[in-house]
Amino acid sequence: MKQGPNFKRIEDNMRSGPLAAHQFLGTDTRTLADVILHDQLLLEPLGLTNQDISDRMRYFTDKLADNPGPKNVDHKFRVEREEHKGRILCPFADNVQASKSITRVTNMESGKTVVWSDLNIHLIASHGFYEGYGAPFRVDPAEYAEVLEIKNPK
Amino acid sequence: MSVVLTVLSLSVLATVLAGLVVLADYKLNNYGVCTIDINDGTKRLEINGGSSLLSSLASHRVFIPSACGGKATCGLCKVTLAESAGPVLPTEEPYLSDAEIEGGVRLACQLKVKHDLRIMIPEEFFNVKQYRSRVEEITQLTHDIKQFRFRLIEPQTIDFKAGQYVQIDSKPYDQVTEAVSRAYSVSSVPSEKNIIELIIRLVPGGICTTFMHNHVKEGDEITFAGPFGQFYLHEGGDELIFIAGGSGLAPIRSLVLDILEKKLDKKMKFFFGAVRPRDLYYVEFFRELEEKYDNFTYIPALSGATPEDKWDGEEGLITDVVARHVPDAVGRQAYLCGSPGMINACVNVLTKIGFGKEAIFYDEF
Repeated sequence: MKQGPNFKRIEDNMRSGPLAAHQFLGTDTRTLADVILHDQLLLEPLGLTNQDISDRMRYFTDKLADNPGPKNVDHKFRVEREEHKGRILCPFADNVQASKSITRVTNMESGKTVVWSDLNIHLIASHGFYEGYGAPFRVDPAEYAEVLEIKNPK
Repeated sequence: MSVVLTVLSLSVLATVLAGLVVLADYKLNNYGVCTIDINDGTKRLEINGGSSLLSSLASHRVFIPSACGGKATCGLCKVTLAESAGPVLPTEEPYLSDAEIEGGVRLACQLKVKHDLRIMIPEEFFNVKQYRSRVEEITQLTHDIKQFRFRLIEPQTIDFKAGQYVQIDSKPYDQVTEAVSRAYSVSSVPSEKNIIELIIRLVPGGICTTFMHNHVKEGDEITFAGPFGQFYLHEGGDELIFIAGGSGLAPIRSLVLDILEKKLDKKMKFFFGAVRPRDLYYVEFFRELEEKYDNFTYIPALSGATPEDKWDGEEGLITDVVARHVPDAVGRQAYLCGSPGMINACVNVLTKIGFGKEAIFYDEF
């Protein structure tokens, strides 16, 4: 998919790494627009929106607002928070910044774990961006839905 | 023939337009030589306009603290302008109070120098220097924390107060094309003037921590600026309550060693919060200090210990542990270093115990 000059600039910014060492696009060679579009296509059959996913992530992150855990949530999820100093800017140049802290959730029934940084919640909610393949915080929408047991609200 | 003429005229037109763009860029973005007057003539710098005030000052070896390297995510690089330099930018607003905006405070990293400026900065910033150093020793302290020992090359000695921090300069690596500078507290004692030690935790995705952990080797040359910060021993307080987590142990170690070395008449309680045993480090070091000195108590605590850990120390959140051991605020000061979440939680607990704002100290980065 063709992308405009703004997206190109953001993509260049993500790849050259002035904001984060891990590169938001990882080893993904697709354009930023293609990465986002592809994830929206993965989301559709699940009957979920980016907001559904990010709300669920926020739910777990907020559970550990005053306590890094580990903590059992809803008798099913083991949640831990790794707190880090400093803040990171959103690469979409919207002046949003988030702490560098990380939330790790393990579904104790399946044993599967997903990990995200505070910024990922914003990236998904506001930009539908789940990071590129090879990026350390890349999680497929379907994986979030499965591990966090996000149900189709309809 | 007409095709050739069309191509030729289009080429000429493109060249003229490109020339106009270059000319406009030169005219619009060329601010010429600007003068920066610091502290009513204490220092006057002549710089080429167009860059941020932060980098312009740094290029003349005037170093303003900045933990984020000019990304407007730390809010540390505040300077006061004698005259307005235009409206405060949206990127600055989260870090400036109404009173600061009214008083002409701006973030130096966001302010572009376009004309002469008169600014005010704390006098101690003039003492900040840039240092060349050699990495003498790297020690793995936990799974994600390393200690770095730097021997100073030029200048060969540094004067700092226990608790202060320096700003390390990273270098480009892998796909990271830009160097950044980040703030780390010194963990060594100020009396060792020709070395500094830093304790650095790997932040996933962190540009400088990844550089330090994965790319720096013993023998490498590293530059840093410093010292910075107000997190040092303040007057008052018969008993000092130190609370830290993660790499926040660094300035506390420096403070404890400095106080013991100077034989100051202070009692000290050091609370260190971690989740599991693997997150603890320097345990033997502080236990030995506790054995040796009557005025020092070390209280490590785990919030996520499991029966397999066979942990027989304090358990629970560090805030709960502090509340159990600190009955009131009388004659006490608290020094905190850790994640923003830990600091907020500790400030809340200490406030409930009776500590006033003037008795609680922590760095803002």
